[in-house]
Amino acid sequence: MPGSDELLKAYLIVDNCFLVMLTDCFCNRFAVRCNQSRLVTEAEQWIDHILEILQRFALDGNMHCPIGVANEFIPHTGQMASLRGIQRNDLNHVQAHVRANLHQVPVDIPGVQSLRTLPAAPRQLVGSGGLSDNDLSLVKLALDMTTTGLPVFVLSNDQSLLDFITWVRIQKKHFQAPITPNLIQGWRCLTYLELVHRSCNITSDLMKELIEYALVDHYNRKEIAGSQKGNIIFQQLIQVYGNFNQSVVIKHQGKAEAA
Amino acid sequence: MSDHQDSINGFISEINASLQQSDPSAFLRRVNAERLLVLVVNELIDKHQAERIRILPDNRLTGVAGADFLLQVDDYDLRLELLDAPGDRLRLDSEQLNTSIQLLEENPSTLALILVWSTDTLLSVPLSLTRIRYLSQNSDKITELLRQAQPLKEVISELIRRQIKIWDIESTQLPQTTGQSIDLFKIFSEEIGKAIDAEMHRKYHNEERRQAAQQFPYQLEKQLILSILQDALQGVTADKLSERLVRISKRGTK
Repeated sequence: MPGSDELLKAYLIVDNCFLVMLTDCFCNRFAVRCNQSRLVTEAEQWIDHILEILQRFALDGNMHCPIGVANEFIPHTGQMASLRGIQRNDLNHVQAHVRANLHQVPVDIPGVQSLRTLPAAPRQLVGSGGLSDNDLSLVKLALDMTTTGLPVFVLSNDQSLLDFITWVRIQKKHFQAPITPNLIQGWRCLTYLELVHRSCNITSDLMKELIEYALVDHYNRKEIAGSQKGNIIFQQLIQVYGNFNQSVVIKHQGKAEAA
Repeated sequence: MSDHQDSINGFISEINASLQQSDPSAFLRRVNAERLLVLVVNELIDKHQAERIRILPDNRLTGVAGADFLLQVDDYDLRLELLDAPGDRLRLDSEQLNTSIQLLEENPSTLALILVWSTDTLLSVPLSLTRIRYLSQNSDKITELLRQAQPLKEVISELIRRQIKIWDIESTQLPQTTGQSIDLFKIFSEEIGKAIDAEMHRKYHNEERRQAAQQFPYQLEKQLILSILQDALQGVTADKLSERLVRISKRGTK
């Protein structure tokens, strides 16, 4: 599929895990190259850069986020807190800076709770141990925004949330117009960014850093004492690189055609 | 927010779809259908815990010889192939049938290939090798086949149900006389012996299952089953016997 700007344009809602991914990616891939005195500024500028790119695809130029979810962005508990020379004040600054880039929206709790009681909602997603109220507030906000009649994208890495959005979008009979659930689309953050890259709005070098961060993060999360597991993970990583290289070729073809 | 289960796996799958689909809408249909499919299968995994169902990304593990997903169920497997259904219209061409024949020929342990279309209910049809060959020779029957498509959940449930052997035993009260007990014990023990012998000589495609079957202590288990049968014929209550029977399965899984 060639890079398609039109496919990517919608109202954009971001999950906290997207912000965490950006912050951790900076810490892993870029912090070591920064002057320590400029670390906070560089981190904020880097996150701003990605958010600004995404804002080009937002129909209203905003990155929406429920207040409860925005409040979950706490760099004090992430990788940034372990960077040398980072003080609590620095973390407070990054937190306030990133949150200020979001259009924070209040979401009513009864509306959120009503999503749990939708008929035939998958229990493993809405039952105990499943999605939290804050997770569901992203879906409620997305549903509310569909009243505009335009597509609404939720960017997240939470598989349960993406699955629930995919289930909700086909439950038209449980919602009254003008709410239109099939206008919602859940996007895995990296997939969305990769397609943005393919549409020539993110450089291949930057995308490579994001993917490498994701691969290292994936590798570190796994217990690979057994060689078979290690091989499977290695195979996955090779596939990701294969896909990325194909994507770069598509991007260059697109550029050549445009020229 | 809860963390991602396996973000890289999902990422690979989605980027694969984006590279293979020329139409952005087809790409999104594919991504959403894959997520729905996994949801449906997870629900079935919960429902049929005894069958120990596992879902794997088939063609990412086995290459072109695989389908989109592999469902390992007990000692057989099902393969699932996702097909695009723009406007909820189901289509099946001869090229797909040829690919399906090849897939089933190369994977003899596969009970059925399930074609799944990217509709809201994931309309599906199960195909055996015989059925696909018949369809490839009688392409006029394809429309009829597509009309028979059912939601994926029902198709898989029905396939699993057909593989489970149901024992139809009448629950008649037997008089507790020694003479009859001895006869019944003889009949049952012979039948159980035959069943266990048959099980010992069963052939498995899966190497791990074959090894597990070789190591299974059939003779010990046979003695235990027969002693339980003897107690049953002597009037020991079902509650007490079931505790011992449950122990059999635990020992069997070691």
